[in-house]
Formats: sequence, structure tokens, C-alpha cells
Amino acid sequence: MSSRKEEERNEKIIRGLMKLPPNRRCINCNSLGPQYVCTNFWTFVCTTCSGIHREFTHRVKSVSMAKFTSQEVEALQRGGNQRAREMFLKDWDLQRQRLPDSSNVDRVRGFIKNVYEDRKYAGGKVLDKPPRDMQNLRNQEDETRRASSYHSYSQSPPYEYQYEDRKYGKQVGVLSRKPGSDRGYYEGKTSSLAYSPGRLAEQMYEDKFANEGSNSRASDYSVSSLGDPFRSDNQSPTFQGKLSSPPRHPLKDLLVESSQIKGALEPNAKKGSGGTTRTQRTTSSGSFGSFDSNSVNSGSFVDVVSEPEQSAGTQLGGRAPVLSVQKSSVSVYPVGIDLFTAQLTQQPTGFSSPSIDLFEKPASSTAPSQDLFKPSDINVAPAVDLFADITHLSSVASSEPKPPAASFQQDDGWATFDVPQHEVSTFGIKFAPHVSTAHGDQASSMNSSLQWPSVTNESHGLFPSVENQWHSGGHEVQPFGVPTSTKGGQLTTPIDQKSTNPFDLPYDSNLEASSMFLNMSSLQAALPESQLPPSYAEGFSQPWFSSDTMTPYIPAAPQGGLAYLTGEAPNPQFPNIPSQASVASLSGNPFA
Amino acid sequence: MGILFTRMFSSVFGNKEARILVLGLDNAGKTTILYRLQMGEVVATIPTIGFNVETVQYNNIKFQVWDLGGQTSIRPYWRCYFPNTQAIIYVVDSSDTDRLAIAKDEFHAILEEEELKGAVVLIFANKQDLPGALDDAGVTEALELHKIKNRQWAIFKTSAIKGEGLFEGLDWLSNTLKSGA
Repeated sequence: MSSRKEEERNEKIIRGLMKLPPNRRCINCNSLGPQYVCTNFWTFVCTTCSGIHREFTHRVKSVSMAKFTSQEVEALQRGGNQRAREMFLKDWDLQRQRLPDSSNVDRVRGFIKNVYEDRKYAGGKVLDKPPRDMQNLRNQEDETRRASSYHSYSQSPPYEYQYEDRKYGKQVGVLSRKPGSDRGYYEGKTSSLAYSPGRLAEQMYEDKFANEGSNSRASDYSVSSLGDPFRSDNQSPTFQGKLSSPPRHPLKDLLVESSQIKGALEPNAKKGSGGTTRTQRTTSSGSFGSFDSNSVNSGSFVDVVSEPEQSAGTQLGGRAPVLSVQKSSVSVYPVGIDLFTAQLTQQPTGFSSPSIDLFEKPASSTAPSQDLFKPSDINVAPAVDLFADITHLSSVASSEPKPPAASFQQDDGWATFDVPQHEVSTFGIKFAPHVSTAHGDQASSMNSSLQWPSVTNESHGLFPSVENQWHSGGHEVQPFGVPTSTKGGQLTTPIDQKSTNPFDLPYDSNLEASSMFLNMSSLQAALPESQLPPSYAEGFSQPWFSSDTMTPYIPAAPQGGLAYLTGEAPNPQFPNIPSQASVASLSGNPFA
Repeated sequence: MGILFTRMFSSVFGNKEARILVLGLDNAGKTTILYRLQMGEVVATIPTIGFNVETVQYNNIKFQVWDLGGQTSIRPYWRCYFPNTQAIIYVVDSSDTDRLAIAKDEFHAILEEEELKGAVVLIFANKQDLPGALDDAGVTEALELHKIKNRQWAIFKTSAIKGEGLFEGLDWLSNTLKSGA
């Protein structure tokens, strides 16, 4: 038997391991604070799951009620939930597949059987290799994921720490020391963070897409984005009344889930995690969250536009839970700024100092973004293919309803969703300014929220931009040939709105955004219909985002570029499919 | 004296009570056995921290069965339950051959306890449903049951999941307790 000192040391180590984010939740049911170790797989599991593990003759030990030998401690240090996840849940798509709830013992039992006994999700392949079912898209995603993940990991720490500090205070230091691999550590964090909110989203997700299991991630993503709008429709009533945060939750959840699960989506995941954190923190974090997001966004934006590497940083930032939601919104914002630099300056005034900083960066980035635009065109093209069918619808919608129809038409557009984007995407490529439009869209969403009631806040983020694009596409897009003009129009109103919108939507909306919005609203009120179209033109902005993100990312890694895009927006899922990417970008804008 | 009288009285009318401890390493199946005896069902269990206690009426004996958690750190607390114990049911995971040595050590440590001098010992070689489980002879050897002196003991192959062997063990227990009373 080991000496008492050794026992104490071992227990200390285990207690430390338990504080690692991946080990903070039961690997099977995601419940908080697992107190048992399954010594077959060196995982931390909750009491319920420990009992079920025993049914499968897996050995479990209570951390507090059992003694661990030094060998066991070493094994646990080498293991842990993150490693086990990589080993046994390689093929488990967290986005689509929900971990069983501990209250449903039968489900947990089935899960444990599938995972550890049958090893259905263990994969047998390397990460790079696509899952058996997966298509090319998936492969790409995996690669992108890795690339992005790599970057994020390398750079994420600061953010992580911040997060840790905020959330756990002193533990940060401990965590950093922990033996677990950095990668696992971070991933675990994101996953853990994302999880709680994710469940709801997952549920929704499952309900909607249960049948689509075989679809590629990209499709999932698109679905999610689409799903959100639909949801928003369902929820629209609440939303319409107010831009309040509630509607967003669903989106966040979705994003979180998807992001968490998919490495490629890491940025999203970050966002998602952020979203979750925010949801959890809501009020408390809200104020600073907005600032963070701004700063982060600015960083992200810059990164995207100018440097791929930086984009990784953004992703990292994205990982930071706090920043996540707002970040997305922010990123969009800066982009818009870049496009409309002149106009942007106006907007900045509205924003707090941080926003200004961002703007400056964007300005520099603008040039790159334009360059990017060309690449984006490519992307767009695919997007068009995807949405070609839809485009008709969207075009129709845009043409018919332009001003008044906005709300309803948009809904239609939503339904057709993809189609509008096609147009947008195509246009978007040409219309780098569109980014700004996207902002405008958001703004429009604010203004238009009335018009777009059906669309939830979330949807606003994503879809509004799309819609805007559509509208713009229908109306102004053509003009967009000279994007600047539209931009100008958009910028004036939309940008402000955008800036406010993104922030407002998240949490702090009341603080600054509300004021911003009010101002904007007044402006918009003055220019309701005429301006709105420009805002819609914003739709282009989405393309921008996608394109911007795309290009910058691409440098880092061809596929990675996609991942990056996704990172900012839902894109990651779509990266594989250019068209999807565009969509993602759209969604991303909304988030922003 | 009152207790003693009650005990004698109940024994006369065949209504006997017995306090029984179910001991064994963690994950041996103690809790599953307890509820299999008490409810006749296999229940989903979680590692026991503390104890479960149930009364089981069998063969005119009212068994008060204490199922104590077997995790390493709480085994020292078993001794708190030793006084006034008529029987020990020692449960062994027959398939966990790696820990049979530990099971043996714990078992003999229990037998050393002064407070359990008069307790009869029933060993359940549990988990016979699992492949690789040692049979009763194998467990007997692994636990070195032949070293038991001055005590009545028996070993049964059991499967709490299948419900096999448990009541045979209780039969032996009730007969032994009745005869010994």
C-alpha cells in the first residue's frame, strides 16, 4: 500500500484532473461534477453513469471514497474525458447527436453500450480521414477543423484564461498546469461550455433533422441556419415584439452544438460557447461582453481580412465563451465598416471607443477584403448552384415586396432562404460593400424587426443579412454594380443599426445598443422604405463576410480558410460547399 | 433483558430476527443482491456511499440486511456496524480475479474482528453469469476459506442478475441461525 503521503498526493492530482474542463462533466451524460472514475476507460463519470458502467462490468471508483494507486493516477493523467472522447466518440457528432440525459437511464445505458462496448463511434480512422459515411465535404471539414483547431489552440490560451478567470477565478493557473494535453483541455472547455445550452438546440436539432443524420456537416449547418429562421418564425411573435435576447438562444444553442462537435466549426463553437456562457451569465457578463466582443471582433475582423493567422486568433477569441456571441456580431460589424470606411467612421462615433479601434483595423483590412472578394466570387458561384433553385424564389420575393413586404416577403425569402442567398452571393462577390450592407441588414433587422418579425433575433443575425441581401439584390443589388452607393446608403442607417443591433441583440442591447438603435430607428423611420432597401443590399455584406473570411482563411489553409469562415459564422459547416459557405457567411453576419 | 426475552419469545414462535451485514469489495454486487432479495428484481444501482438497509422476510426469519458500501475509503467504517451481527454475507465478484487477493485480505480482516466472533459467514461467489467467473471452488481457494476456524461458513455460486443461488444461501443462513439460536 502506498504511504499516506502518496495517497494524499494522488488524491490531489485527481482533484486537479477533475477541474479540467473536459473532466468537469460526465463524459456520457454531460452532467456536472462527475465524482467517479471509470477505470476501464479512465473517464470521469457521474454517479448514475458509474452505476451503469458497472452493469457492463466496467470498474468505477469513487474519487472521494476510493483510493487510487499511483499507476491509476498516471493512467488517469494520460486519459481523462478528452482523450476518451477522441478515442470512443470520434464519430459522435455532438452537433447532431445529443448525449443521453442522466435521468434517462435506459438511454445512458444504450449510449454506454454503443460507445464502449460496441465502439460504434470509436472510428478506427485517423482524424483526417472522413467518417465512413462522410462525404468529401466532411473530409474537408475535418481538415479545416484541424487547421483551425490548431490555430485556435495555439492562440486560444489567453482567451481561455480570461474565461477561466472570470468563471473560475483562481483555477486558471491550476488548469494550465494540468497534465492533460492542451488541445484536449481547450476542446474540453469549449465542449463543456457549449453543452448546457447545446442540449436544447440539439433537441430542436434532432427534431428537425433527425432524418438527416447522413447529411454532411455542411448540410447540417445550413440546416441549422435555416432551422433557426424557422424557429424564429415560431418564436417570431416574441421576437417581433422585442429584439430581446431570448430568441437568440436557440441559434446560439445550435451554433454551440454544431461548433462544439465539429472541430472545423471551432469558431462557431466558440461563439456558441460564448453564447452559452452568456446565457448562463446573461446579465452579469452582458456589459463587458459587449466590449469584449467588440475588441475580439475587431481582432477577428482584422485577422480575417488581412491575415489568416490572425483569423486563428479570432477563432481563439471566439473560443473564449464570453466573446463568442457578440463576436460574431462584431465581426460583421467591422467588416461593414471596412467596406464603408468613410461611413464607418460615422458609425464608430455611435459606438464606444473599442468599436472605434476596431474600425481602424477594418479600414486597413478593407483593401484585403476587396481582394478577397474575388475569391469570394468563386465561393459564391458554388453557393449559387446550391441556391440556384431558391434564388428564383428569393428574387421573386425581393422584387415583389421590396419595401413593404419586407417583413413578410422576408419570411418568404426565408422559406426560400437559400435562393436569396444565391443572388446575394453572386452579387455579394461583386459588392464587397455588401458587408456593410450586412450590417445594415442587421440594422434593418432592428428596424426591420418589425418587418421581419418572423425572423428571430438569431435569424436576424443570419437571415436578416440574407434577406437584406436579397432585397438589395432585388432592388439595389443591380445598382450594386456600384456597391459604394448602396453602401453609403446602408452605411448611414444600417451601420449604426448594425452596430447597435449586434450588441443589442446579444445581451447588452439595452446598454449601448438600445440607444444606438433608437437613434437608428429614428433615422430609419425617416427613411423607412428607401433606406431599407439599401440595408437589404447589405445582403451583399454577407458575401463579404464569407468571402473575407474565406480568403484570409484560405491562406492559412485552403480548407482551413473555409473553416475560418465558418468560424466567424456558421460557415465552417458550409466551408466544404462554397455555396454553403456563403450561406454560412450570411448566418455569420447575423451572428455578428 | 427485555431484548433477550423478546428474542427468546420470538424464537419460540419461529419468528426470528437476524441482523446481517452484506460486505465485500466495491462492485461485488452487494446492493444488487440486497434488492434482489428484498424486491425480487434487478435494480439499477450506483456505487453505495454509506449503506442500504432492508428487511427481508424469509423462512420465518426477519433478516435485517445491511448493505455497506465497499469503496476503499469506506471499508474502515464497516466495523461500525459489527456489533450485534449474527451473520456476514461476504460477496465476491468471481470474475474480478485481479482483486480476489484484496477480497481475501478484507475477508480475513473481518474474521479477525472480535465483534464478529459469533457471526456465521455466508460467501456469495457472485457474478457467475459473467464469462471467466471462478466457480465456488475457485473462490474458496482464492479466499483461502479453508483457513476459517471455529466458524460456520458456506459458499454459494450466485448471480444476482439472474437471481440464482441467492435464496439457497438464505436457506442455509436461516437454517444455520435457527439451529444456532
